[in-house]
Amino acid sequence: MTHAKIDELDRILTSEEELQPMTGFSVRVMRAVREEAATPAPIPFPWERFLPGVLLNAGLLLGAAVWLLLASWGSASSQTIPTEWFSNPQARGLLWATLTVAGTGLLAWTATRWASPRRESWF
Amino acid sequence: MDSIRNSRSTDESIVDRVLAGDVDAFEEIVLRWQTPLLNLAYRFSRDRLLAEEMAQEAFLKVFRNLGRWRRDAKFSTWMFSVATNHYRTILRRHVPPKVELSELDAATTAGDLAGEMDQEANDSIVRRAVALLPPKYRDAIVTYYFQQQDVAETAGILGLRPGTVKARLHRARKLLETKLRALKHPLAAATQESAR
Repeated sequence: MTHAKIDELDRILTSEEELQPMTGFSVRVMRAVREEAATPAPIPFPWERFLPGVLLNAGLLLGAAVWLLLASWGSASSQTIPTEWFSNPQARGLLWATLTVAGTGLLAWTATRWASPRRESWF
Repeated sequence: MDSIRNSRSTDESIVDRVLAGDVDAFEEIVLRWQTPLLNLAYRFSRDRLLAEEMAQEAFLKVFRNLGRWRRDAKFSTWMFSVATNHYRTILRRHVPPKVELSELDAATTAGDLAGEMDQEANDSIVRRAVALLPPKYRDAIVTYYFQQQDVAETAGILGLRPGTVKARLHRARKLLETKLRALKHPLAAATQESAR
């Protein structure tokens, strides 16, 4: 844009007529503000309780994955689970289902236990 | 200068009172800033009713976040920053642009652009075309002109560096020129003539 055009644009965009709020605008705003002030502050998310549970479960899942990988590669862990388990789809499915149920149970237990008011002193 | 300092100290003292639990003191903030916040909302939305709603919600946001105002910035800069963020969010997520290019086109073809269309109608088309710019250019140009062409203040409100604001303003003007040329608007027509 040339200077002349920029000047014209400046004139157009700075010369806009000022709007005035409708009658009762501030009253409506203050009504909303008072309602907001009267509402109890939201309970902050308990990150200090939530994070350890998440980390613990992530660690367990990671450990299980590593353990399964090692087992399937015939490493030392494979001595605890027969390798033929992994070639049997039903046994594999059962193992995963067990792990999932155990993980879910552990998660639910952890969440319930840590959310309990009796455990307030933990943190 | 004194008035600026007084305004700053007034805002600070009102905020202190609100933070100390005097909710009614916030009304002074509302009364002081309702017109600027409404006008800023209107420049973003080009819709009178929506602008009122946006401004009201912006005040609520300001109230909720008063404690986060760091006193190193002016209260007005912080408040406009909160409001601008809110306006951008509303326009991005919930409301399609109120002004369509075809609408502007119809407006320009309704009158004789060579001479009959009055100045105010032409100016209105330019202002509405600004609302059709891509958001980051629209935000820069709306805030810049709202802040009386103060690049530093615009940068503070948008959370950008002054150089970035200047670059966006330059690009915004180019885009605006292209849009207006497509509409055969006199501002762009003058451009072509002067370019020759």
